[in-house]
Amino acid sequence: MFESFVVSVIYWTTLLAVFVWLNRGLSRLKERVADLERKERAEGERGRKRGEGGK
Amino acid sequence: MKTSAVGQNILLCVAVAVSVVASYAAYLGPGVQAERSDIFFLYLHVPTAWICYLAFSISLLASVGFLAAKNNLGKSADESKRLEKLDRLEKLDKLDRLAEVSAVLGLVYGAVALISGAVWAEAAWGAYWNWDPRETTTLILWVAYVGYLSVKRSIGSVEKRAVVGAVYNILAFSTIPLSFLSATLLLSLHPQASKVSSSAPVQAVLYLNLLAATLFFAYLLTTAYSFWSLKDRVEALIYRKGEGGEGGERGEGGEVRGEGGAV
Repeated sequence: MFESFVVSVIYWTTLLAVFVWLNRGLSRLKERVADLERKERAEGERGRKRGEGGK
Repeated sequence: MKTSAVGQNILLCVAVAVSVVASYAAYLGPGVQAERSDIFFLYLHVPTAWICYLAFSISLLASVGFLAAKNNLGKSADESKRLEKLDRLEKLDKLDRLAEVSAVLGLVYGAVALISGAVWAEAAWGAYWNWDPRETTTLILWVAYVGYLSVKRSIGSVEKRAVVGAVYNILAFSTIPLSFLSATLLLSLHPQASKVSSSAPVQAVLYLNLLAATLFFAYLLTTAYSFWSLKDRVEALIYRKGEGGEGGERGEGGEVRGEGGAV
Protein backbone atom coordinates (compact mmCIF):
# COMPACT_ATOMS: atom_id res chain seq x y z
CA MET A 1 0.00 0.00 0.00
CA PHE A 2 2.98 2.30 0.61
CA GLU A 3 3.88 2.17 -3.11
CA SER A 4 0.39 3.23 -4.13
CA PHE A 5 0.62 6.15 -1.71
CA VAL A 6 3.95 7.18 -3.31
CA VAL A 7 2.40 6.97 -6.78
CA SER A 8 -0.60 9.08 -5.81
CA VAL A 9 1.73 11.67 -4.26
CA ILE A 10 3.78 11.77 -7.50
CA TYR A 11 0.60 12.08 -9.60
CA TRP A 12 -1.00 14.88 -7.60
CA THR A 13 2.27 16.76 -7.03
CA THR A 14 2.97 16.76 -10.77
CA LEU A 15 -0.53 18.00 -11.62
CA LEU A 16 -0.34 20.64 -8.90
CA ALA A 17 3.10 21.79 -10.12
CA VAL A 18 1.82 22.13 -13.72
CA PHE A 19 -1.30 23.93 -12.46
CA VAL A 20 0.65 26.42 -10.34
CA TRP A 21 3.32 26.99 -13.01
CA LEU A 22 0.71 27.66 -15.71
CA ASN A 23 -1.40 29.99 -13.59
CA ARG A 24 1.58 31.98 -12.28
CA GLY A 25 2.93 32.24 -15.81
CA LEU A 26 -0.47 33.31 -17.13
CA SER A 27 -0.87 36.13 -14.62
CA ARG A 28 2.71 37.30 -15.27
CA LEU A 29 2.13 37.28 -19.04
CA LYS A 30 -1.19 39.13 -18.70
CA GLU A 31 0.60 41.89 -16.78
CA ARG A 32 3.34 42.01 -19.41
CA VAL A 33 0.87 42.24 -22.30
CA ALA A 34 -1.06 45.03 -20.54
CA ASP A 35 2.20 46.88 -19.88
CA LEU A 36 3.42 46.54 -23.49
CA GLU A 37 0.04 47.59 -24.88
CA ARG A 38 -0.01 50.63 -22.56
CA LYS A 39 3.48 51.63 -23.71
CA GLU A 40 2.48 51.11 -27.36
CA ARG A 41 -0.60 53.29 -26.93
CA ALA A 42 1.45 56.02 -25.19
CA GLU A 43 4.05 55.97 -27.98
CA GLY A 44 1.31 56.17 -30.61
CA GLU A 45 -0.26 59.11 -28.80
CA ARG A 46 3.13 60.88 -28.56
CA GLY A 47 3.78 60.29 -32.25
CA ARG A 48 0.37 61.66 -33.17
CA LYS A 49 0.93 64.80 -31.06
CA ARG A 50 4.37 65.30 -32.61
CA GLY A 51 2.80 64.98 -36.05
CA GLU A 52 0.13 67.53 -35.21
CA GLY A 53 2.77 69.94 -33.79
CA GLY A 54 4.84 69.72 -36.96
CA LYS A 55 2.00 70.86 -39.22
CA MET B 1 -11.69 36.43 -23.17
CA LYS B 2 -13.80 36.82 -20.03
CA THR B 3 -16.23 34.09 -21.06
CA SER B 4 -13.35 31.70 -21.73
CA ALA B 5 -11.89 32.50 -18.27
CA VAL B 6 -15.29 31.81 -16.66
CA GLY B 7 -15.57 28.58 -18.66
CA GLN B 8 -12.09 27.55 -17.53
CA ASN B 9 -12.96 28.23 -13.89
CA ILE B 10 -16.17 26.19 -14.18
CA LEU B 11 -14.20 23.37 -15.81
CA LEU B 12 -11.64 23.51 -12.97
CA CYS B 13 -14.38 23.36 -10.30
CA VAL B 14 -16.06 20.38 -12.01
CA ALA B 15 -12.67 18.64 -12.48
CA VAL B 16 -11.74 19.14 -8.80
CA ALA B 17 -15.17 17.93 -7.61
CA VAL B 18 -15.06 14.79 -9.77
CA SER B 19 -11.41 14.19 -8.75
CA VAL B 20 -12.32 14.35 -5.04
CA VAL B 21 -15.16 11.85 -5.52
CA ALA B 22 -12.96 9.62 -7.72
CA SER B 23 -10.07 9.68 -5.20
CA TYR B 24 -12.45 8.90 -2.34
CA ALA B 25 -13.87 5.99 -4.32
CA ALA B 26 -10.36 4.80 -5.17
CA TYR B 27 -9.13 4.88 -1.54
CA LEU B 28 -12.21 3.47 0.11
CA GLY B 29 -13.83 1.79 -2.86
CA PRO B 30 -14.65 -1.88 -3.21
CA GLY B 31 -11.55 -2.72 -5.23
CA VAL B 32 -9.00 -1.69 -2.62
CA GLN B 33 -10.97 -2.96 0.37
CA ALA B 34 -12.26 -6.29 -0.90
CA GLU B 35 -9.73 -7.30 -3.54
CA ARG B 36 -5.99 -6.86 -3.89
CA SER B 37 -4.42 -3.73 -2.45
CA ASP B 38 -2.38 -3.20 -5.63
CA ILE B 39 -5.64 -2.60 -7.54
CA PHE B 40 -5.23 1.01 -6.37
CA PHE B 41 -2.44 1.44 -8.97
CA LEU B 42 -5.03 0.78 -11.64
CA TYR B 43 -6.96 3.93 -10.69
CA LEU B 44 -3.89 6.15 -11.20
CA HIS B 45 -1.82 4.37 -13.82
CA VAL B 46 -4.58 3.67 -16.37
CA PRO B 47 -5.99 7.25 -16.42
CA THR B 48 -2.49 8.78 -16.82
CA ALA B 49 -1.68 6.39 -19.68
CA TRP B 50 -5.07 7.12 -21.29
CA ILE B 51 -4.50 10.88 -21.03
CA CYS B 52 -1.01 10.44 -22.50
CA TYR B 53 -2.50 8.71 -25.58
CA LEU B 54 -5.33 11.27 -25.76
CA ALA B 55 -2.93 14.23 -25.63
CA PHE B 56 -0.75 12.82 -28.41
CA SER B 57 -3.85 12.03 -30.48
CA ILE B 58 -5.04 15.65 -30.15
CA SER B 59 -1.54 16.76 -31.09
CA LEU B 60 -1.64 14.53 -34.18
CA LEU B 61 -5.06 15.84 -35.26
CA ALA B 62 -3.87 19.44 -34.86
CA SER B 63 -0.75 18.70 -36.93
CA VAL B 64 -2.78 17.00 -39.69
CA GLY B 65 -5.20 19.96 -39.64
CA PHE B 66 -2.24 22.33 -39.81
CA LEU B 67 -0.74 20.63 -42.86
CA ALA B 68 -4.15 20.43 -44.61
CA ALA B 69 -4.85 24.12 -43.92
CA LYS B 70 -1.36 25.06 -45.05
CA ASN B 71 -1.85 23.10 -48.26
CA ASN B 72 -5.12 24.94 -48.95
CA LEU B 73 -3.47 28.26 -48.17
CA GLY B 74 -0.76 27.57 -50.71
CA LYS B 75 -3.33 26.76 -53.41
CA SER B 76 -5.52 29.79 -52.88
CA ALA B 77 -2.68 32.30 -52.43
CA ASP B 78 -4.22 35.45 -53.82
CA GLU B 79 -2.97 38.87 -52.69
CA SER B 80 -6.40 40.44 -53.24
CA LYS B 81 -7.81 38.29 -50.45
CA ARG B 82 -5.33 39.55 -47.89
CA LEU B 83 -7.66 39.61 -44.90
CA GLU B 84 -8.87 36.11 -45.58
CA LYS B 85 -5.28 35.01 -45.86
CA LEU B 86 -4.39 36.59 -42.50
CA ASP B 87 -7.35 34.77 -40.96
CA ARG B 88 -6.05 31.50 -42.31
CA LEU B 89 -2.54 32.24 -41.05
CA GLU B 90 -4.01 32.83 -37.63
CA LYS B 91 -5.79 29.47 -37.84
CA LEU B 92 -2.47 27.83 -38.77
CA ASP B 93 -0.86 29.41 -35.72
CA LYS B 94 -3.63 28.08 -33.49
CA LEU B 95 -3.32 24.53 -34.84
CA ASP B 96 0.47 24.54 -34.52
CA ARG B 97 0.21 25.88 -30.98
CA LEU B 98 -2.42 23.28 -30.02
CA ALA B 99 -0.20 20.48 -31.38
CA GLU B 100 2.75 21.67 -29.30
CA VAL B 101 0.80 22.35 -26.09
CA SER B 102 -0.93 18.97 -26.27
CA ALA B 103 2.39 17.19 -26.85
CA VAL B 104 3.96 18.92 -23.83
CA LEU B 105 1.07 17.80 -21.60
CA GLY B 106 1.24 14.33 -23.15
CA LEU B 107 4.88 14.16 -22.10
CA VAL B 108 4.02 15.15 -18.52
CA TYR B 109 1.29 12.49 -18.30
CA GLY B 110 3.56 10.01 -20.10
CA ALA B 111 6.28 10.54 -17.49
CA VAL B 112 3.78 9.97 -14.66
CA ALA B 113 2.47 6.84 -16.45
CA LEU B 114 6.02 5.50 -16.80
CA ILE B 115 6.89 6.20 -13.16
CA SER B 116 3.62 4.79 -11.79
CA GLY B 117 4.03 1.77 -14.07
CA ALA B 118 7.57 1.22 -12.78
CA VAL B 119 6.43 1.39 -9.13
CA TRP B 120 3.57 -1.02 -9.89
CA ALA B 121 6.02 -3.32 -11.70
CA GLU B 122 8.24 -3.35 -8.61
CA ALA B 123 5.28 -4.31 -6.44
CA ALA B 124 3.98 -6.94 -8.88
CA TRP B 125 7.07 -8.33 -10.60
CA GLY B 126 9.86 -7.42 -8.18
CA ALA B 127 11.78 -4.96 -10.37
CA TYR B 128 11.15 -1.39 -11.42
CA TRP B 129 12.19 -1.95 -15.02
CA ASN B 130 11.91 -5.29 -16.81
CA TRP B 131 12.29 -4.28 -20.47
CA ASP B 132 8.78 -5.59 -20.93
CA PRO B 133 7.40 -4.78 -24.43
CA ARG B 134 4.82 -2.35 -22.99
CA GLU B 135 7.43 -0.57 -20.86
CA THR B 136 9.93 -0.38 -23.69
CA THR B 137 7.49 0.80 -26.37
CA THR B 138 6.05 3.44 -24.02
CA LEU B 139 9.57 4.69 -23.33
CA ILE B 140 10.18 4.82 -27.11
CA LEU B 141 6.94 6.81 -27.47
CA TRP B 142 8.03 9.25 -24.78
CA VAL B 143 11.48 9.74 -26.32
CA ALA B 144 9.89 10.23 -29.77
CA TYR B 145 7.83 13.13 -28.42
CA VAL B 146 10.81 14.62 -26.61
CA GLY B 147 12.36 14.58 -30.08
CA TYR B 148 9.31 16.41 -31.45
CA LEU B 149 9.78 19.25 -28.98
CA SER B 150 13.54 19.31 -29.58
CA VAL B 151 12.97 19.58 -33.33
CA LYS B 152 10.56 22.45 -32.79
CA ARG B 153 12.98 24.27 -30.51
CA SER B 154 15.94 23.81 -32.84
CA ILE B 155 14.49 25.51 -35.95
CA GLY B 156 14.60 29.30 -36.09
CA SER B 157 12.04 30.12 -38.77
CA VAL B 158 8.49 29.93 -37.40
CA GLU B 159 7.00 28.63 -40.64
CA LYS B 160 9.65 25.96 -41.22
CA ARG B 161 9.49 24.94 -37.57
CA ALA B 162 5.73 24.46 -37.77
CA VAL B 163 5.86 22.39 -40.98
CA VAL B 164 8.78 20.19 -39.92
CA GLY B 165 7.21 19.79 -36.47
CA ALA B 166 3.86 18.72 -37.95
CA VAL B 167 5.50 16.12 -40.21
CA TYR B 168 7.63 14.83 -37.33
CA ASN B 169 4.54 14.68 -35.11
CA ILE B 170 2.72 12.47 -37.62
CA LEU B 171 5.73 10.14 -37.77
CA ALA B 172 6.07 10.11 -33.96
CA PHE B 173 2.43 9.09 -33.61
CA SER B 174 3.26 5.69 -35.10
CA THR B 175 4.70 4.83 -31.67
CA ILE B 176 1.21 5.09 -30.07
CA PRO B 177 -0.31 1.95 -31.69
CA LEU B 178 3.05 0.28 -31.11
CA SER B 179 2.79 1.01 -27.39
CA PHE B 180 -0.94 0.29 -27.16
CA LEU B 181 -0.84 -3.06 -28.97
CA SER B 182 2.50 -4.25 -27.57
CA ALA B 183 0.89 -6.04 -24.59
CA THR B 184 -1.47 -7.91 -26.96
CA LEU B 185 0.79 -8.67 -29.88
CA LEU B 186 4.03 -9.40 -28.04
CA LEU B 187 4.83 -11.68 -25.15
CA SER B 188 4.30 -9.32 -22.24
CA LEU B 189 3.93 -9.41 -18.47
CA HIS B 190 1.72 -6.35 -18.65
CA PRO B 191 -1.89 -7.30 -17.84
CA GLN B 192 -4.76 -6.57 -20.21
CA ALA B 193 -7.12 -3.89 -18.90
CA SER B 194 -10.12 -6.24 -19.19
CA LYS B 195 -8.40 -8.90 -17.05
CA VAL B 196 -7.38 -6.51 -14.26
CA SER B 197 -10.71 -4.75 -13.89
CA SER B 198 -13.06 -7.69 -14.16
CA SER B 199 -15.56 -6.79 -11.43
CA ALA B 200 -18.24 -4.16 -12.02
CA PRO B 201 -17.47 -1.97 -8.93
CA VAL B 202 -13.79 -1.80 -9.87
CA GLN B 203 -14.71 -0.84 -13.42
CA ALA B 204 -17.08 1.86 -12.13
CA VAL B 205 -14.33 3.40 -9.97
CA LEU B 206 -11.89 3.14 -12.88
CA TYR B 207 -14.27 4.98 -15.24
CA LEU B 208 -14.86 7.65 -12.60
CA ASN B 209 -11.08 8.15 -12.31
CA LEU B 210 -10.80 8.25 -16.11
CA LEU B 211 -13.46 10.98 -16.21
CA ALA B 212 -11.72 12.97 -13.46
CA ALA B 213 -8.36 12.76 -15.22
CA THR B 214 -9.91 13.75 -18.57
CA LEU B 215 -11.63 16.79 -17.06
CA PHE B 216 -8.42 17.88 -15.34
CA PHE B 217 -6.51 17.40 -18.58
CA ALA B 218 -9.11 19.48 -20.48
CA TYR B 219 -8.58 22.28 -17.95
CA LEU B 220 -4.78 22.05 -18.19
CA LEU B 221 -4.92 21.98 -22.00
CA THR B 222 -7.06 25.13 -22.24
CA THR B 223 -4.90 26.92 -19.64
CA ALA B 224 -1.67 25.88 -21.33
CA TYR B 225 -3.07 26.99 -24.69
CA SER B 226 -3.88 30.43 -23.24
CA PHE B 227 -0.39 30.56 -21.74
CA TRP B 228 1.30 29.79 -25.08
CA SER B 229 -0.99 32.29 -26.90
CA LEU B 230 -0.07 35.05 -24.45
CA LYS B 231 3.62 34.19 -24.77
CA ASP B 232 3.37 34.55 -28.54
CA ARG B 233 1.47 37.83 -28.12
CA VAL B 234 4.22 39.21 -25.86
CA GLU B 235 6.85 38.21 -28.44
CA ALA B 236 4.82 39.87 -31.21
CA LEU B 237 4.43 43.08 -29.18
CA ILE B 238 8.16 43.18 -28.39
CA TYR B 239 8.95 42.59 -32.07
CA ARG B 240 6.55 45.36 -33.12
CA LYS B 241 8.14 47.71 -30.58
CA GLY B 242 11.58 46.84 -31.93
CA GLU B 243 10.41 47.57 -35.45
CA GLY B 244 9.29 51.04 -34.36
CA GLY B 245 5.62 50.25 -34.68
CA GLU B 246 5.72 49.54 -38.38
CA GLY B 247 5.67 45.75 -38.26
CA GLY B 248 3.25 43.47 -36.56
CA GLU B 249 1.86 41.65 -39.53
CA ARG B 250 3.52 38.48 -40.45
CA GLY B 251 4.68 38.00 -43.94
CA GLU B 252 5.14 34.86 -46.01
CA GLY B 253 7.99 33.73 -43.80
CA GLY B 254 5.77 34.16 -40.75
CA GLU B 255 8.58 35.31 -38.49
CA VAL B 256 6.19 36.76 -35.93
CA ARG B 257 3.22 34.87 -34.67
CA GLY B 258 0.46 35.36 -32.18
CA GLU B 259 -0.93 38.61 -33.51
CA GLY B 260 -4.52 38.70 -32.45
CA GLY B 261 -4.22 35.15 -31.24
CA ALA B 262 -7.20 33.77 -29.37
CA VAL B 263 -6.18 34.50 -25.83
